[in-house]
Amino acid sequence: MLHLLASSTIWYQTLQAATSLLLVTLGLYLPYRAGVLNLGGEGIMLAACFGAVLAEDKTGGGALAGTLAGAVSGILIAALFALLTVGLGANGLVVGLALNFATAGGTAVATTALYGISGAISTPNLRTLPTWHLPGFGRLPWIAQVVSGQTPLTYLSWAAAAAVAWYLHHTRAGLTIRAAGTRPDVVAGAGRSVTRVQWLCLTAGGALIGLGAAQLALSSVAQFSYNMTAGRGFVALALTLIAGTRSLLLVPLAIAFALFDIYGVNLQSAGLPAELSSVVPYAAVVVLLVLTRLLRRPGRGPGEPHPRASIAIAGAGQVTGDSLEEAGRP
Amino acid sequence: MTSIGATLTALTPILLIGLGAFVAFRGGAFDVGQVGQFELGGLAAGAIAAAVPGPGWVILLVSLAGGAALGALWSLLVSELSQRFAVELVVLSLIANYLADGVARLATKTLFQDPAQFSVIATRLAPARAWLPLLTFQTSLNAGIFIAVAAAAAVWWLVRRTTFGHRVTMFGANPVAAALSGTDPAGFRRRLLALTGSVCGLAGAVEVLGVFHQYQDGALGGTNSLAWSGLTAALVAGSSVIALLPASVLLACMTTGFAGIQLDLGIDPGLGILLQGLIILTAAFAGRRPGHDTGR
Repeated sequence: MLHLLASSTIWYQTLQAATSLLLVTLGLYLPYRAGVLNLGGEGIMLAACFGAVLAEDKTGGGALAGTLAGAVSGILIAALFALLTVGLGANGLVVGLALNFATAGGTAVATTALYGISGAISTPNLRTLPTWHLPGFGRLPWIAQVVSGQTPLTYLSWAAAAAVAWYLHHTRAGLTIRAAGTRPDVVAGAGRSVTRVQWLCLTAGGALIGLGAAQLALSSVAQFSYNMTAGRGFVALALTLIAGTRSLLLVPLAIAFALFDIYGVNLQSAGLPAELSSVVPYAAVVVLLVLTRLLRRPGRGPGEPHPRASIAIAGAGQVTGDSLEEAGRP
Repeated sequence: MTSIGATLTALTPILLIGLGAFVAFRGGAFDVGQVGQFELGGLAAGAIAAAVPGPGWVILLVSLAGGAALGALWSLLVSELSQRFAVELVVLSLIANYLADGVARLATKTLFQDPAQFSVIATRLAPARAWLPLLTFQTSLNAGIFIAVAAAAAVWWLVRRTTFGHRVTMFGANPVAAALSGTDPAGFRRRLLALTGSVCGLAGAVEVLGVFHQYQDGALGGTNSLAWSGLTAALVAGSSVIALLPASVLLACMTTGFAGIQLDLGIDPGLGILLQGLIILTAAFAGRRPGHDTGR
């Protein structure tokens, strides 16, 4: 059972799966820090998987077209979510649920309408994403097999994780985003629009989710299948809550949960029931969600006012408003 | 006649789940874990009905009670974790749905698997004397519909006529005022979600004892689960028990209607799920928030 952990194949597949999860998690993390709980992530991801596969098949533009289409579909659906919730003030949790159903049903209907078969799209036009062999890794046997030869999106996801963490914590715009999540009244008082910040975070996040979807649909096997995201959007949302204010935690979290997934599928060869694979990852999410909340620094999460902030600007106004409620806390 | 029977068969779990979700929303808990409670209730009923000896009505009652109990237990567990560790209930209950699905599959396979079946993960068939009696010959319409209708009446009475129902309404409308009026919020939340979990668990038990006569992996859960239709009905019904009835009937008609359309016209059954999404979207705009706090 443990020998599996030494296998470079397992770790290669883990990083491959972690890429998709990490990109989607980053895409949900940005709006989370701006005070919006994007429950529609699962739906955005599924629609982007479909968009990526459809574009690659119909345009013949290869994996590049698929990847771009994934990002664009992600942006479009995320913008729809932003329009309905931030723009028109509908309940974000309900809109998120609705989007998940609408995309699950919509992609199924479109699959049947366009391809005449229900279930999966898998055509000869579909090519997987190219893989990059990193120079200089040839001499490190195990590492080279794991880290080198991934899709460009893998390396992009690591860069994106670092960029998001740096942007949020070391730039003025990042400060505005974090303030929009914790003290929207202060952001408004400083003459900036909370709505605009949330719009930008949601749509930029949509692009990241779309890239994650492209990785899922086009990395190991290039195909679209019914409900292929299988709850990854919700797991990603849980990971953003687990990370809380610690942005860089997203990378090890995504890799850990991808490992649970891949390891679970391989448990069967170790003589354990295969059904464990549908328990272990979700149980781990719940356990970590509970544990990290236990260890959390109080008053630092989006949607909950900083303990000292209310003293500093006492009388600046009641902290209410949709952004707080969308962040999921009363 | 067949189609009416099929629609009423689908209405049974939709109405029961709708009632459970309705009470949770009304009490200010945005719980979306109905699918998991539904599945585990079905698993408990399937496992008990296949194992317990005795006359049919005893098996039936014990299995229904077992289903309700496991649904309540699961709901209570999720709600306690959410309350105690300040995790958003909506996220935790969504993840819990996947976890419940996996747990039910694992438990069925390792503990309750019918040795005669190789291709499906399912419990042994319940003895025929413990089945909920069929009402028509052509469809699986069974006495479960009476349970659902009785539960609807009970929920109406609970919400409109009892102290607990008044607290539900108060906590949904203004949790601060409700807590100040002397009700312990944590204790209330526990009772509320145990109640709604038991109704959803009962729905699973009724579905197993009335339709499938065994717990089958994948029969109750998934994206196509009738529990999601029940949740949709509760979201559409807003704050009125009475409105839940037509909403449930509409969603039951959609379920059976799209099964027919799929056969006749070759349109993907996903159309039903797409429309369900659009219906939920209208609920998001209806101005009625399902519960005062939207997260925990």
